[in-house]
Amino acid sequence: MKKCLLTLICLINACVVEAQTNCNVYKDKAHQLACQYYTDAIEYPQGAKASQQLFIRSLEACVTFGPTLHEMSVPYLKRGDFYTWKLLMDKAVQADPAAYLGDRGWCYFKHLHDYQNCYADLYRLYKLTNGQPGYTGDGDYDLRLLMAISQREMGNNKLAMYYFNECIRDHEKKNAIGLFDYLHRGVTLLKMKKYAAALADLKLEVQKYQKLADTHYYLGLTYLALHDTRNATKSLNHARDLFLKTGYHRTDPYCEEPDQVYLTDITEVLATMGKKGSQ
Amino acid sequence: MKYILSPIFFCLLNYCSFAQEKLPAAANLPEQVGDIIFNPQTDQYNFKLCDKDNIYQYYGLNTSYKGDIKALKKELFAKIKYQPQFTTVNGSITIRFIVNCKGESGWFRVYQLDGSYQKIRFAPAFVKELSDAVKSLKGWIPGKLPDGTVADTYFYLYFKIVKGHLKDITI
Repeated sequence: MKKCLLTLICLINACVVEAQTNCNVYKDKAHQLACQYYTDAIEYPQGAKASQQLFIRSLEACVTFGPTLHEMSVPYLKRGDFYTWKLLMDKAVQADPAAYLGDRGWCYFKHLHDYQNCYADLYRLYKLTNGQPGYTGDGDYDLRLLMAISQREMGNNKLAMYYFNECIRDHEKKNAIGLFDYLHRGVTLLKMKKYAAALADLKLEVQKYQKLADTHYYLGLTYLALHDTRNATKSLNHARDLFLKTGYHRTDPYCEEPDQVYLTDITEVLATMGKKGSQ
Repeated sequence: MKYILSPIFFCLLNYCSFAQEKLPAAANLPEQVGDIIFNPQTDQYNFKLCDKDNIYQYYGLNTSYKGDIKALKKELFAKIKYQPQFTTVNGSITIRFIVNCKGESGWFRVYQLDGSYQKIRFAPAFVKELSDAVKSLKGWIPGKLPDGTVADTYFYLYFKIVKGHLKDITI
């Protein structure tokens, strides 16, 4: 019985080990084979028939081989087949929660705006990792920020602020502030009508990423809320210039970004201010 | 003997439950995940592709909309009105289609899921309203290859519906 259990444990463990180029790290033939098919599959363009066929072979060798389940799911996500994406990702998470909860949570957030499932996954990972769930696949966000924004989008600003503050405090301590940390907390504070605190965060964001049009737009809105028309106009004009000429704005080839600003957002506020000024 | 059979049984058990969940089968795979194959019964003949052998994904060639996604969403939200008879509709509808090199759209495919991402069929009239709204969009800007040539691309829109209300549109 002991031997049987040990064999089963080894089998499961071998299945859930992260993908390695060297498939010899796996101790049994089934997983070495699954790994070999996986490494062959990722040589082909993502979503191509040859690639998917090799992933299927990999899963025939080991049905719980996490790297294959994860990688095979990606083109389905990017091309709007969320049914198949979720089937595969659920299996990947089942095989290795610590390795794939973060990615599934991030995908719920980014592609589906499913904040409830995103938070559930990331909270589970947060607990598994003693509060250090790691980063999104593209490296843009500490996953605690996604937990915060998810809570904000579900209307729970208090819990959102808890995660924002914990994450940003941690980053400040490590001298590793993220590119958009202050932006999203600032926008959340603005939505909560805590204008002085929002202003402080958005100014810190400008120090971090000077040429981001989105931050200057939200700065403009904050000044407007504080009845500081002069600075509001200055910030909004600067946002428009950065958007059109010398700066950057949030954009992504796949989806809209959280708190993303469009040029018309800026020009509409400026037009409204212009009308009020001329009255 | 039983030490050998146990892991095999475990794998078989896993494989059986795995296979039941209708994952892609090797025999039925398209050339590319998400390919739309022309259906003469439902697809318009007058929707022409520049290059039927090379249809790209929107995210590779930056297929977009006049006034950006913000304008597209505004247009759709204005067109899709809440109707009390659809109050039991909960879940999502994904509409995938092609934006050709002229900025025209065609070959629409509809995928319906419930709130737990399981396949479902909503009231056909509700689905038709969403499809008609997407088909009526006229502001498409075709994707461009690195050399500036316009190309045909796949695009999709994801609609989230709660109690018959359109709550969100994402791409």
